[in-house]
Amino acid sequence: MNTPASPSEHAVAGRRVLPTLAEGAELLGEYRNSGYREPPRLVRLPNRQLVRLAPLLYLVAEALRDLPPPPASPPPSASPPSSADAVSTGDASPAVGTAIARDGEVAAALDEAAATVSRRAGVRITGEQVAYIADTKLAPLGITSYSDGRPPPLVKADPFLGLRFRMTLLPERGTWLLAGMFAWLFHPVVLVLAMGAVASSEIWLLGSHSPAEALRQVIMRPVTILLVLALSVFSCLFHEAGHAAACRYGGERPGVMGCGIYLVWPAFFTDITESYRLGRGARLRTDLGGVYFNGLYIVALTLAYLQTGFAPLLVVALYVNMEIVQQLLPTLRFDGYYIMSDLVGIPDLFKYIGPILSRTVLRRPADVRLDVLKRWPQLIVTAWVVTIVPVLVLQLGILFLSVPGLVVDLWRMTRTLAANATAGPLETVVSVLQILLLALPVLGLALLAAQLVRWLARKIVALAVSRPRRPADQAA
Amino acid sequence: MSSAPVRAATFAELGALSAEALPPRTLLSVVTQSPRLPRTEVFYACQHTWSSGTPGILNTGLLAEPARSTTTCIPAVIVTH
Repeated sequence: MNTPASPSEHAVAGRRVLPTLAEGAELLGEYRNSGYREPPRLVRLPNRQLVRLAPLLYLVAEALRDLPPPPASPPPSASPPSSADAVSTGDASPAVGTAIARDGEVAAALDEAAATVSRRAGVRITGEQVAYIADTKLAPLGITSYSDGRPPPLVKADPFLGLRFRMTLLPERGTWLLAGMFAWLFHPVVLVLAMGAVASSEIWLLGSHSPAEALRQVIMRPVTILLVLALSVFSCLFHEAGHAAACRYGGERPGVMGCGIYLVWPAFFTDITESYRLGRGARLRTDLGGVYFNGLYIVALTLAYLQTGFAPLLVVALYVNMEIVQQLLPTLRFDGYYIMSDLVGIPDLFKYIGPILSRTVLRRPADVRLDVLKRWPQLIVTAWVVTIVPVLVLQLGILFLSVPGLVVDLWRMTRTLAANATAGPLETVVSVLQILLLALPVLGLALLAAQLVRWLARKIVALAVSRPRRPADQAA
Repeated sequence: MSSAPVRAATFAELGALSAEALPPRTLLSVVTQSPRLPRTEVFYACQHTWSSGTPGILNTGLLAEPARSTTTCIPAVIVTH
């Protein structure tokens, strides 16, 4: 973010407007149990995007929100400013909800806000600095309007290795109802009993049964392959229901549920962004809700196996266990990553890879982003980065290397399906589903490659544009 | 926080204050495992025979046998993947 070391560049003589909180923005209070030296504060934007602010910035937003509206004045003309110091303002018309007043009144209001902030923060700031904070920190994040009347932009986070290609399957209201059906499973008494059942099931399943024979039975019949596939997919959906239920049990509203492609895999997801408002314990419960429900699913499979003796259920139990192990890895944005993030109280661990590698490997001075972290979270995140980055590179490398094999498999299966015209309906359905499961990763990789190419192109263009022109006689 | 301001903040200090848009918390579950229909390959062992035939009685073609060849294949190895 650009931070000019001088008063706001956007203020134009005669056209200063009092910055106000964006319509629909909500100040949520402290981000609890954080890993920051000063507990950050949270703001929810009108588009449900959450923003983390340093305490002083939050106090400024609060003070601007609480200012009484100035007396009504005629709005300024729609023509752009003519001052020589004006920067490009884009849309010069004031934002909806922006208070327009004479300069003297605006200055007085800013001074009043500054006095409020100074009293609460224990550090003295001026009205000019309030406008500076609004223009350089709050408005670029969509929290307030600019001091020249420009409206706040629409801000949406674009996280590294985030889920991008997705669609909603269940709207927020549906997720709320679904979560309500299962939230009681997080009651402490129920939790203890359930964990006991899970442990017993796992010990009995893994200790007394070999999945190899069960797998052999599964692969010889298309109907069992279909059944195993359906039960595996259902376990993913039940996993997501666990997150939603835990979020509701903690007192926050889960968002939508849907599906998409995460990197190269088909994935289901639950949006539990509101869980940022919870304390550490409740956030961890939300993170672990998924694997808890995987455990309950294994209990159900065990009971079904005891009733029926149907061996393919053991294969499903094996797959669910593999899913649990995969989920708990803290490399990509699976549950283990969020568990690590909530344990240390830092929302986005991937943002610290660059600064930590720069300090640890390249021995450069510590980035200011690391200085705001407490000592222990900083050490833990450093250990995480140093361990995870090689694993992540290896994981992504293996992913890319496996794709040619996937493409070959996909081509072969498609040819087999096309050539085998006398295959029964079940064989056809199984083959089509398997082709789909092979095609989705290939599609995901193509989309990922396209994103990478676009990102590289943007970086190259930005580098070319920002490279300063050196004079021909500059000495080396 | 104290009620009496102690010192004045500088623009540089204010510029260094951190603020960020938080990433959405979308907890995922991915589908990576699936049993597959077995792929079967059959390798055959074949036997070829050739008979040149006979010219017939006193090379007249009477009761002659024509030349013929036969090929007989049986499945020898079946491999299931």
